[in-house]
Amino acid sequence: MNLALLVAPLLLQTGATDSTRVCVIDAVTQLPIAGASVSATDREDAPRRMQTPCTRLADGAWLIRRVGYRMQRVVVSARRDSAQTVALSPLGWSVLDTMRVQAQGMPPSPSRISETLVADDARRAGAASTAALVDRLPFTQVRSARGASTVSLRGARREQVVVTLDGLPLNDPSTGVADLSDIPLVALGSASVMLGADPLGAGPGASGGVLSLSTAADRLLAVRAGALGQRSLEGAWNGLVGPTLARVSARHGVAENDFLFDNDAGVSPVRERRINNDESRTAATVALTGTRWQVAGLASRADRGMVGAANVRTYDADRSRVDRVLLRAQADWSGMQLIGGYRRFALDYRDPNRPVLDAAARVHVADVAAQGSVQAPRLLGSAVAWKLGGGSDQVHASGGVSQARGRGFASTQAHWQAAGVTSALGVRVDAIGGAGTTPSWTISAERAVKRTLRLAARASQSVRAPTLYDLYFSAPQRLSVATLRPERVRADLELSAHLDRHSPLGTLTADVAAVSRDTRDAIVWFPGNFGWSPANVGREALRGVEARLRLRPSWGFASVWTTWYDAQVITGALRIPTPYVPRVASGAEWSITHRGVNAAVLARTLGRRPFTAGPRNPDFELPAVALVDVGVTHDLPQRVSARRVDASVTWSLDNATNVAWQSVRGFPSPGRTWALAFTLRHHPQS
Amino acid sequence: MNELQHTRVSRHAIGRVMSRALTRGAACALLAACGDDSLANSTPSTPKGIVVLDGYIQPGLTLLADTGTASSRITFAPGTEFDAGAFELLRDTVLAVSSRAAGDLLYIADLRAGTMRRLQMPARSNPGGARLLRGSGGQTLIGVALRDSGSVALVSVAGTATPTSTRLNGAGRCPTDLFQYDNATWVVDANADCAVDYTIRGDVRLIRIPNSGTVRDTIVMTGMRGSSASAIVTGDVAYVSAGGDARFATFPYTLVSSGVITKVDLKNRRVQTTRTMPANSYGAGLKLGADGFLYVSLYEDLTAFRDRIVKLRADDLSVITTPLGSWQVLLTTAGAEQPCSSAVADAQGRVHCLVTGAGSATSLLVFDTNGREVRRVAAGQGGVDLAIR
Repeated sequence: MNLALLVAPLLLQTGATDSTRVCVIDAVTQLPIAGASVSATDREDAPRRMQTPCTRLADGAWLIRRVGYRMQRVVVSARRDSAQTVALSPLGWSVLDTMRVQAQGMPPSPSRISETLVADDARRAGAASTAALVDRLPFTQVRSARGASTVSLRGARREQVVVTLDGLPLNDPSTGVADLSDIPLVALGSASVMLGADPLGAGPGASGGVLSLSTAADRLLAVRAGALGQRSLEGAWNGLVGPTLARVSARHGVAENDFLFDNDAGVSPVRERRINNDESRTAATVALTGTRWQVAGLASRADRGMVGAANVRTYDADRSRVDRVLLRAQADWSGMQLIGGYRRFALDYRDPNRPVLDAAARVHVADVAAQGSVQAPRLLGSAVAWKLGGGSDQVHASGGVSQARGRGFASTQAHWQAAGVTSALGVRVDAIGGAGTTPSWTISAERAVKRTLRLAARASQSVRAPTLYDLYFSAPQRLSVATLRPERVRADLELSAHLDRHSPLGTLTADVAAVSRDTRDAIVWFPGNFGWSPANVGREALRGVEARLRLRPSWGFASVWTTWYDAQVITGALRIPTPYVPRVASGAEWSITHRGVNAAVLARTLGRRPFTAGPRNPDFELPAVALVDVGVTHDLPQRVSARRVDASVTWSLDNATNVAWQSVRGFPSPGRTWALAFTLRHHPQS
Repeated sequence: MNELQHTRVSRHAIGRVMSRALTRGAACALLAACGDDSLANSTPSTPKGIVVLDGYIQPGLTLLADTGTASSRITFAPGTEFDAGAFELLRDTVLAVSSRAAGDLLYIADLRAGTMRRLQMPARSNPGGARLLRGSGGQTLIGVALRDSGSVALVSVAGTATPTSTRLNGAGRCPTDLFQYDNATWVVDANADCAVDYTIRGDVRLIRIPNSGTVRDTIVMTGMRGSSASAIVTGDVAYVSAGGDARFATFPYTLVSSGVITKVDLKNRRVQTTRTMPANSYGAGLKLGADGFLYVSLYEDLTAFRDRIVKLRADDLSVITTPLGSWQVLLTTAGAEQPCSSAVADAQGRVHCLVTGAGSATSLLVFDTNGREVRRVAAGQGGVDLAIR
């Protein structure tokens, strides 16, 4: 998506001629920023907080501040400009973890393939959850089982992808996996995917890539109902509380998920109805943004049935509860950003038929970091950014399982330009309790060959520290943590070409990349060893090609992407393809807007997916599948909508062709399901 | 009774993953030789082949010859939840079961045809093992111990026709194995709370269920404990084994009692001899070698879980000692000690066993009578048990 287009409609809404409409955007991402404060340079007035990214300013000089960004002075002249954009530069180099209020994503890094999807666009296309939002992003593969939704990028295992919410990692340190299911879509402004190892921005664990979720500042109320007992109510509000911009959102939803499926794990396929698959989820977020500080939090609770794999009846009464609390604070101080975060996961598993097997786990994670920049030597011609941080992970679980470890890191990065080549170099050192000290680095270069064509190359090394085993207690086992070496990406290489061309049809964007990743000491769980032990099993290699084509005409949006990966673990004589990674996957999205109606079609194909940690064997592969989702949003006429309130109705059909498929072996996915949503949006006066 | 004189590998699909893993090397039992090979043969013959059960990852059977590296496979796909730790082999038929955590299924494989068939056992019945009780005229009777219902299912299979099943109730607290002798079905009752968490509730029992009537005769195996009890029958003797009792709910694990082997006189319905496995050891996977000795696979302790093999005389259950004491000495070609599991000997006294390495890659190892490695061949992945044909 062309991110600059997000700002254009805001600027076009011109008003009175004695003032200028000023919109604030992120200089790197080009995305709008809400919550900036504005004060006149020649008066002593209190700063005025911008609830939205745009405001009207009288002629004169103004100072615009926003936490996480450098202050900027602008001169407004209504005679000269009817609209003006102010681009604020992030304070640190790591824009990944700056808190943003409006729909924002990661910087469009030229050296790697990335993509940002605005949550509201996905909502209008029928997406009802964060997992559905992520599923619409190119190159992603979302997998769901027992209520958890996780994501794989670039042929990586789920634990090799870092997911962040406003920069705060969501990965559970006990499993390494981030569950998207408890993040309410209503709280989000955008989701960005960035492929490839990111040792600097995301730190250890991001071997396959980073999924970055950003919170939003909408005012909306939506009610939704659909097949399989889906019902939800969600809302979001933002406003000024004194000088502070406050944002809150909440969602409550339930679903029975009692769909019909073909149980093929028994003697012969039997048509059955899924039982004990219901769920109830509640989540709330709050964010307060001051001139130089920002605090945000998320709390969620999910209660659900823990249905087992098809044909396994012993879990038909089991239940689980997952509570999650995330807190993050950020402040600007002496030209630096200070960041603190805290996460708590609480998992409770209940087996009514065998209470002795009830289990619980508590996970606590704390992070602190500081980042800034210093003037670089003249040779570099730009600032050198730095970041220091640390934290601790603690896990306590039934059976006396207890582990704690500390973490620390230091990193630096610089950009420079020479001979038409834009280059970046960064290094990072992580010290992780029990895993030692591990350096990692990244280097990239980009050159514009023509006005519309850019070539880029990137090489990175990264690490992933061993985590605790999955404490979700689907199997009530107790473990001692084995001593493992960190998994190390020795070489994550990417060569890419990017084309941007304006055509009569609209802006055409094309990306293609050849990628390679070699990982030493890959940490893989193999059943069959005592206690299902993790082990450093050898070399994990990935070779692949990624391609994407996007067209944004005036009437909508069209995109098509495809990936080819050969990902495997090589240990001894064994060649084990990475489970659930298809050789070929593709997706296409087509969206059209006409006379207040937005229609979108999303198609995805997944090739055959191995589902065991064994050699490639057609008997142990999920079949190839093609899925189609359809969504239509109708903006109700003005006479229906109240003043500054827009109303819309969204109708969606997921898995429209009613394909029987599984994203995780043994856990059937629903067939065709429908949903209907009614949404009210309030646009505060700017 | 002669119908039972075949190669037999006992089974028990323990629901707990922890215990399931233990079955890889423990609590397996073997009866006599195979096919035409029998204990009575005076000239030791070479095996017709070796069958390895790949219990995890890609469940199935890996079939190997007595020499060479070639192998073939029969997959149990798509039974991805397969969790058997052992199997029974009778000539060309293999039986294995999946527990309640893996769909309560009975697997029947035909080695000659290379086919596999699944039969659904009652939901949540938690099958613990299957035995081929009779087979004649295309009609086969299979007994399946259903741990969570305290019963035994007698499944009659005739060709591709729909199987029929009857139930023997009152088969103990947790039946894990069975055999037929003297017009009665004998059930090995682990006497554990298998329907919940496999907590041991008492000594292992042998329960005799006559083919007619409702009387139950019970022989208590005093001091024998384990949720994975099984039996090998040869003539009028049954060798009953149980792996011991341990607490895995907290770490470090604690051992309550080690495994025990008991020799039972079936004719007189009494215990003849009992042998407790070495101190600190856990598990007692019992197989009867074609050389006439009993081979017990177990873990040396609950700390390192090192695989060990104990060799017993079949008559008095006395241990064949070595320079390592009770442990059999198995050495690689380089002279290093080689831990090994699921051990059994062929008629020549060569010990066959399994080793699982990186990526759960399984190797079949063969040692000569001096314990020197003479063969090492890839045998699939996730191997948990073997039998010699």
